[in-house]
Amino acid sequence: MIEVKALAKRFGAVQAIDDVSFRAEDGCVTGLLGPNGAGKTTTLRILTGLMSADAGSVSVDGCDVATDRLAAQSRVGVLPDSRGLYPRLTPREHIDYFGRLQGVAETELRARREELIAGLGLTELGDRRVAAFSHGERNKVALARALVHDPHNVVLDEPTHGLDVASTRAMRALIGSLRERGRCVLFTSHVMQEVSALCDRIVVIAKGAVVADGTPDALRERTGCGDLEDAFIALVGLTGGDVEARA
Amino acid sequence: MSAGRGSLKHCWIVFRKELRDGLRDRAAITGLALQAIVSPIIWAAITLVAAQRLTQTELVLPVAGADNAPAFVDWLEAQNDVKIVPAPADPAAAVRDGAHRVVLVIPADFGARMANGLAARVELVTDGAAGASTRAADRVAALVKGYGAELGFLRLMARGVAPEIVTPVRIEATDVSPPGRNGGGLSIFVTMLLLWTALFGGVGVATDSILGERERGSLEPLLLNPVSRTALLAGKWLAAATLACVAVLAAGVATLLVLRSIPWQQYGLQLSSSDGDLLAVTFTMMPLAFFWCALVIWVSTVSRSQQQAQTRYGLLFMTVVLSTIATLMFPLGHVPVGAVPLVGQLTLGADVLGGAQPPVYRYVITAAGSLGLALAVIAATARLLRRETIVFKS
Repeated sequence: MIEVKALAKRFGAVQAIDDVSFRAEDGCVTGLLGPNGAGKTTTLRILTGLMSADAGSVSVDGCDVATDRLAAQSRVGVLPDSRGLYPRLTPREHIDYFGRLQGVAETELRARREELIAGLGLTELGDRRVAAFSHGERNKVALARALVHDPHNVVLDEPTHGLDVASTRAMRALIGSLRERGRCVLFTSHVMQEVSALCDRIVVIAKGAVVADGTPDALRERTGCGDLEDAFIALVGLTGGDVEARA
Repeated sequence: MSAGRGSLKHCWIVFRKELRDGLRDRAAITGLALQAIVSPIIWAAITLVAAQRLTQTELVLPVAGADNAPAFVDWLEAQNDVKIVPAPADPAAAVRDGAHRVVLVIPADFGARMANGLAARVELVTDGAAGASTRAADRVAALVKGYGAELGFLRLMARGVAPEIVTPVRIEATDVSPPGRNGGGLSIFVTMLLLWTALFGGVGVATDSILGERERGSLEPLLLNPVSRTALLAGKWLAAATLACVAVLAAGVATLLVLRSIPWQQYGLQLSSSDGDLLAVTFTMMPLAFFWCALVIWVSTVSRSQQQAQTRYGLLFMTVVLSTIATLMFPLGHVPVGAVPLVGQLTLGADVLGGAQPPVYRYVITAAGSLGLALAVIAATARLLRRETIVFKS
């Protein structure tokens, strides 16, 4: 479980987030939505221990990220916005490297690695250097290294961004299976259809603050919109023109 | 698992990954291998050519106006390793063009002045800007002086005066340089070769350490792991320095093989250094590799772009060149200076290969200075890595 309480962060004159609070429960897929520049990435960076907050706190399974960063980080698997790989290493070597840094024991690591390689369809590519991989293949390697320690909490920043149809489906299936196994999944996306299909709960952030928090049905009800996309636009106060410009 | 042991383990994991990654950088490894093997060969070739020129003992001396002083010319020709040849039409042009190193011109009044007991003059045409010409001129001047002294002694004796009366003081020089010091030029070259290898050997991995990770977008995923930033940085540092040390060792061994495969004695050279000396200098350079890699990692951490990093590396190498020149021009024998990275290694390396046998504590001070500073730089850089402005591009 990830619990975010009254988070605030300022960069110079810009108040990036101000009073962001929400909870991502176990066995639940929580969607973090918001327009560009709303503060999603900053929130994710703080809750994964990469940034410190000016005020507020984040706890992962009860471990405070600010005071016990290492313990909190070992309980989360993160697919961050930047997914750079090491061009001269193979997918297996990437998984091993991150697994060892996460403290996974060698025998367990071997089993886990092969499970991920097979599960993500990387069997053919497992021992090739990633330099020549496609965007989708790189994404799979990045995902594998995020999940190598079988974390209880999974944070995915736009996991289907740039993926083809088959890979997007596989990613959605994976998110579903994580939920079935009782994991806490927190993800961001711009694809409303995906959010609608996957999320048990949605947290909407706009201008650095949480503007809505509830089930998709509750959000639709609150805004009086039948469509989740319309509900989202109503919540963040955007016009249709803004949305088209973004799309 | 305690935090300390955990950090050590993480450091080891990062070290192994960086080493593997670094060794797969084929272009960098090929470059290092070429440098290690080719440099000693080029150095040996240059040394041999220089040695041959230095040990050419025969002095070919063109003499203009030889008919004006046949006795003098006969005397010159009777000296060891002197060959008198006819002078060119334009002595000055011949020397300037390098056709001859010197030309001796004997004026027509030589015989007349000599007969009248006056000082007879000869003219020596040289090129002061050319080392070979100056050396030849020194030899000719010494010969002319020798002839003059011999004549003078004879004249004094003919007048019943003891020749010692005109030489109240005589110089007897004692050379205190270690035996084989004449091979001194070798030591600077070998020291420089090993020093540069220590500086360049780990630069690839060290440059990539933070800047490369950030530009590639792999720094953020790496920092998401429950690992202390000091352990991460230490692993990268040790990997870069280890590669540099391997490169230095390779260069040392390659130099040794080249040194031992050349019959130096045949070229009139005596090597002042033993195999042990060369290996000692090789190991002396290793702590410098640790210091330098730490410095490059710091630059890699604080630089926002490759261009910014290039500018800073340029400044670093400029410092290297300047301190090398300063150290070689003003040799500093003081012990505390030995702790200064680069200066210490240069001084110690040149001393050892020059035939001196420095006490063990000098090695210790040199190594401790570099390693201590390296640790300080790494610790400071690890603190920087906690800053968000360092980790994120924007």
